Amino acid sequence: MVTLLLLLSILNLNTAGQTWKCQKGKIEFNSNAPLEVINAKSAELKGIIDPATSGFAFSVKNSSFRGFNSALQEEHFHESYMESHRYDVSSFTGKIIEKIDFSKSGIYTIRAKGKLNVHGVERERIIQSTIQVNGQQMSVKSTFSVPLAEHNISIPKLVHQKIAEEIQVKINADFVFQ
Amino acid sequence: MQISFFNKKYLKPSREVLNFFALTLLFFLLAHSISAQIPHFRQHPLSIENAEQLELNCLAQSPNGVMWLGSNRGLIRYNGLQMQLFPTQSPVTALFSNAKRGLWIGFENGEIAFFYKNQINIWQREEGLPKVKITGFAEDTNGNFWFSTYGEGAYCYDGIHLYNFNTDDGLTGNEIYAIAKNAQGQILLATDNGISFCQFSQGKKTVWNESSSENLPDLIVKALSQTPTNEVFAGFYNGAIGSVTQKNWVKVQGVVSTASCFDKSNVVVGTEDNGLFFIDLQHGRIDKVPNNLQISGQSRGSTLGGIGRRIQATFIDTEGNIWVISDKNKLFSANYRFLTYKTNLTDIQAIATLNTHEILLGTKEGAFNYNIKTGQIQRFLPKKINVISLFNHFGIPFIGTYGSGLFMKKPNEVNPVHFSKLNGLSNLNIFSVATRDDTLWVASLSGFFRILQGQKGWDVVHFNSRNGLSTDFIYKIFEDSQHRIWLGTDGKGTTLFDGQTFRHFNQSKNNKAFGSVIGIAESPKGTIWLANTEGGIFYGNETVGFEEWQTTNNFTRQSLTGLTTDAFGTVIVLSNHGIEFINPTTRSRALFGSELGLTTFESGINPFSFTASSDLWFATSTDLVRMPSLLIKPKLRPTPILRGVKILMENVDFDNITSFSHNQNYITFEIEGIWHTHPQAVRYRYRLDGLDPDWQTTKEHNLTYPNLPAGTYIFRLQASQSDDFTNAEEVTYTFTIEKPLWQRIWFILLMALIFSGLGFLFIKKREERLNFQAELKREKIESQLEMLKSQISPHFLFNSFNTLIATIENDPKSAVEYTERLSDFYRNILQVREKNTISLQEELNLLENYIFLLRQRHGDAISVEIKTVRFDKKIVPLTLQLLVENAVKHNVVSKSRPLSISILELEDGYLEVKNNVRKKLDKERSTGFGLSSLKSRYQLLTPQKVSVTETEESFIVKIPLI
Repeated sequence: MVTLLLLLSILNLNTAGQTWKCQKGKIEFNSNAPLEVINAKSAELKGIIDPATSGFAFSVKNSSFRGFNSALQEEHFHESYMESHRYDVSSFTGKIIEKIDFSKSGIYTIRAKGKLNVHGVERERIIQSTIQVNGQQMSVKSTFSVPLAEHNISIPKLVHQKIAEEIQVKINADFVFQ
Repeated sequence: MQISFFNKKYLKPSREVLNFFALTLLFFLLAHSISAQIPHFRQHPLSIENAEQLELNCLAQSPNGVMWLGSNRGLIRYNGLQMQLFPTQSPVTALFSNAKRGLWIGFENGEIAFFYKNQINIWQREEGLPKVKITGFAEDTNGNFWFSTYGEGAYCYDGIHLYNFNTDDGLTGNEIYAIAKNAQGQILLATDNGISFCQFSQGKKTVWNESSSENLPDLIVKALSQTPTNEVFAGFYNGAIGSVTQKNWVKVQGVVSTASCFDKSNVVVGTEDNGLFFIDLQHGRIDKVPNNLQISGQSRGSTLGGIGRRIQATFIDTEGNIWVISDKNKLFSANYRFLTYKTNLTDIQAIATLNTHEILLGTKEGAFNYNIKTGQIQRFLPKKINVISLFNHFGIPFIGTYGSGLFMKKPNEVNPVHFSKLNGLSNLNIFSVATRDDTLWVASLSGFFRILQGQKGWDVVHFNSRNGLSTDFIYKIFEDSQHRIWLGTDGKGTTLFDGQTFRHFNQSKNNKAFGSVIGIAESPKGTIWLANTEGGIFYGNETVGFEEWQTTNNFTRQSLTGLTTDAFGTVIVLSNHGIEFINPTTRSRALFGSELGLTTFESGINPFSFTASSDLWFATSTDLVRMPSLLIKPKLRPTPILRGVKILMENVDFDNITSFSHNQNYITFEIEGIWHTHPQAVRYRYRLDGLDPDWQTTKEHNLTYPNLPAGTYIFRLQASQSDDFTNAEEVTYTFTIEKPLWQRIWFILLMALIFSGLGFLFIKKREERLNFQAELKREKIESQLEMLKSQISPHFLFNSFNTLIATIENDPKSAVEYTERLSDFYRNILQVREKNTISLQEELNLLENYIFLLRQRHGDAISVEIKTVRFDKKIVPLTLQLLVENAVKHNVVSKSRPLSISILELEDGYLEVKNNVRKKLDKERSTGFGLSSLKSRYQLLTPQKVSVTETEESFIVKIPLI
C-alpha cells in the first residue's frame, strides 16, 4: 500500500478520478550468462495508469523476487548487485507516447516513455508494450532489456561469466479500471 | 609583327589618340535589363511504370553520387539516366545518406528502414518505432542519430537506446516540419511555435527554444537547411528565410516549404504555393524562377511550363546541381555552379568586379557598370572608348583601352585620371594591368610601364626592347606573390622582371615554343602557369623551368583566351571548347561546354575576375557568367560504380565472392558512372588486367568477357564526362577463375604423391622379392653343397666302389651298367642342382638311378614303391633322393629286415614318402641338415609346409607338390 501511495504521489493524481490499477502483476528477469542462468520472478509488481494524462507508474520491491537457483545466488543478487537494503524499489514512471482510447476494447501496441529507476539510478527509456483492453479489464505485456552498466551495477570480473551484461525483463500485469 | 591571335576588332583602330571628349558631348545612360541569375534547368522524365500516379516527397544522394527519391510507392534509385523502384508498403517521407551510416529511409507510417545489399531492411527496435510520419534525419557531433516525426516530436539514437524528445521535454511542438544540425552540433527542430534546440549527451537531454516573435520573423517554421559550414537557415510560413544565427531575414512571396543552402549567401527556397526562388544574400537579390522559364527535357505540348507552383523538396548534390521536386511528380535539376546572365552588350572584351554588386564590362563601345542587385547596365565612363583591359585595385578600377591609353577612376572623384602621352604613357594600347600594392604595371604594344604616384604627380617609367625586352608587344602583365613581374609577349614567350634584370623563357623542357603568352597565373604553391594563344599550357618557375601540361586523347584547344587560378589551386582555362577546370594535384580535368547554354566561348584576353568573396566571373563576348564561390568544392568527374557482376548471366554477390570455377568463365560487369550535370556525356574506360593489354573506352553499361581462361584478373573501371581519364577515380574488382581440377597444383601434387607412393611400394616389393630370391639362392647353394657333400661322401663312394669291384668280377656286364648309372646319377645331380624346382618326372628319373645303385648293393633288402600320376608337378630337386638316402642312412637294411619305402601322391597335392623304421644301433652321425634345409627351401617356394611324422613303425615325410 505504501508503494501504491508513492506511485500516486509520483503521478500527482487526483484520487477522485478513475484510474487503471494493478495490485498484483508479474515481473520476471532473466540473466543469461555463459556460466550461469539466473531467472527470478516477483508477483508483486504494482502499477497504475491514468487514462486522462497517459501517465503511468510501475514499481516492484527487489526483495519480492523469488526463484533463485540457490540461497547464495539470492544473497549475491541483493547484496552485491541490487544493494536491495539501500535501493529496494525499482520503478518505471512516465507517459505513454501514443494516444490510446482506453474505453475501447482491443489490442494496442504502445510505447511508454519514462524514467527507469533501478539500483537508485534513473535512466530515461522507451519501453514497448502490448496492452489488451477488455471493458474494465486490461492486461499489459512487455519485454525489455536493462544493461547493468547503465544503472551503475558493476560486475566483478571474476563473475562476469555468471551474470549477463544485459538483463532481460518480462512484465505481465492485469489492470482493473477503478 | 606577329599578332596571330588578334580578332579583327583589334586591328581596326589606329594608334592615334581619338578625341573622345569632343565626340561624346551627350551623357546617356544605357539601361538594359538582364535575365535573372537562374541556372539552366532540365526536367527528368520519371522512367517508372504508371509514373503519373507517382508522388515524390524527398531526395538524398549516396556518396557515390546515386540519387534517391522517396515516393508514395517506394524508394527510387536514379543514376541520371534510369530509375529503379524499390516498392515499399508505406510512402517514403524522409531520406538520409552519408558515408558512415549509408542510406536511411523514413516512412509515412513511422517506420524506419536502411538500405543494405540492394534491399530495404526495416529497422527493428526493442523500443518500437514511431506511429506517425517521419519528417527528417540528422546526425549530431556526438555521433547520435536523430529523426523527427510529425506528431511524436523527435528521437535520438545513441547507439544503444532510442530517446524521445517531445513537448514534455520542452519542445515547442510535437509536429516537427524539419530537422537540421548547427555548427555547435545541436539539433534544431522546426515546429509551429518556433525552433527547438536539442542536445543529448551522456544520457542527459537538453532542450531550449527560440519561440519569441521578436527573434523570429514568424513562429511557424516550415523548413531548415544546413550550409556546408553547418550554419542553419530557417524558412517560415510567411515567406521569410534567413540564417538562424545571423537573423538576416529576407522574404519571398509564399509559404516556404523547403530550402537548400549552397553556402551562407546562396539559398534556394521552395514554396507551397508560389514556386521556386533563388536568394543571393551577398548581392541582396531574390530571383523567382519565372513561370514561363524555358526548361530542357520538358515534354512538348505540356500546358504547365516552368518549374511549377508547389515545391515539395529541394536538394543540392555533390556536383553543385540543385534538384527540385514540384507538383507532386516533377523532377528538375540545374547546375548551380554557373549562373548565366544574358546581356545586351556585344563584343565584351574585358571584365572586372568592382564590389559586391557591381561588375565592370569593357566593350568596343566603352566601359559599362552592371549592377547585380538591380540588373541595370550603365555607362561607367562617358566616353566611347575601345576597352580591352580592366583591373580593380582595391576598389579603384583601371580601364585599359586600345588606342586611348589608361583611365583610373577613383570612386569619390568625378573625373577619371587619364594616362596618356601627356603624363608619360608613350603607348596607348593597354592590354593588361597588374598590381599588388602601390606600384602599377601596365602592358602595352611598346613594352611595359611602371607607374607610381610621386610627390608631384605620376612617375611613369617605360621599359621596352632597348632595356632588354625580347619584343615590345606585351599582352599580359602579372605580378606574382614575390612582387616580380611576368610578361606575356607576342611570340617570344614569357619574360621575368625582378626589378633589375630580364629573364626570357621561350620554350618548355620538351622544346615546345611558348609563342604568344596571353594567360599568366600563380597557384597557391608558387607555380607559375602560362597559356599561349595556340592553346598550350605550361607550368613551372624560373628555377626548375617549365613543363608542358599535356592532355590525353589529343585534346587540343584551337584558341585560348584566358587562364587563371583559384584559391584552391584549380587552374581555369577559357577556350573555344568551353571552360576547363584542371586540378594539378590529381591531374583531373573537367570541361563544361555546350551544357552551359552560352552563345559563344569567344572572349577578349581579360575574361576573368574574382570578387572579394572569391566568386569567379567570366565574360564571353556576349555572356556574363558567375561561378559562386561555393564552400563545397564540387566534383570534377563522374564516380565510376561497379553495380553488378554476373556469371553466366546470373548475379553474384561480388562483395564476397571473388573466385569462380573453370566453367564459370562467362562474366559480365554492370557498370555505371554518375554525372548528373550531363549524364549522357558519361563514358567509361576499362581494362581487365590479365587479359586486356590496353584500356578500352565505351559508353555501354554491360561489359561481357566470354570464355575467360583460368587465372587471376583485375577489372578496372574509370568514368569521365570527357575523353580525358587522367587520374580518374577507379573501381576495381579482383577475381580468380580457378583452373580445372586436373590443372590445379594441389591435385597434381596429390597425384604425384599417390604415384610416388605406388612406385615406392613397387620398389619395396621388388626389393623384398630380390631378397627372397637371394635367400632362396643361398639356401639352394647350401643344400647343393650338402647334397654334394653327401653324394661324394666317402661312405657312399666306398660302398659304391666295393659294389663295383664285386660286380666286375661276377658280372662284368652289369658292372658296366652300374658304372653308367653311377655316372648318370652324378651327372643328373650336377644338372639339376642349379634349379629351384624340377618336374616330378625328372626327380623320379634321378631317383631311379639312385635306387639302381642302392639295389646293386642291398639287393632285395630295399623295396621302393612309387605311385604318382602328376609328373608335370614341380618339386625341389633331389628331394626324393635325399629322403631315400636318409632312410638308408638311418635304418638297418637287410634281407631279414628289408627297408620298404613308398612314395605316394596324396589327393591333397602332397607327396608322401614313407619308410618303415628299423633304427641302426650305431647311428650314423647326422647333422640333420638335409631335412631342415629341405624344409626351408620349400618354405621359400610355397606356403604349404613339409611335414615330418615319426612313429615307432614308420617315418613319414609329406612334401607339397608345387
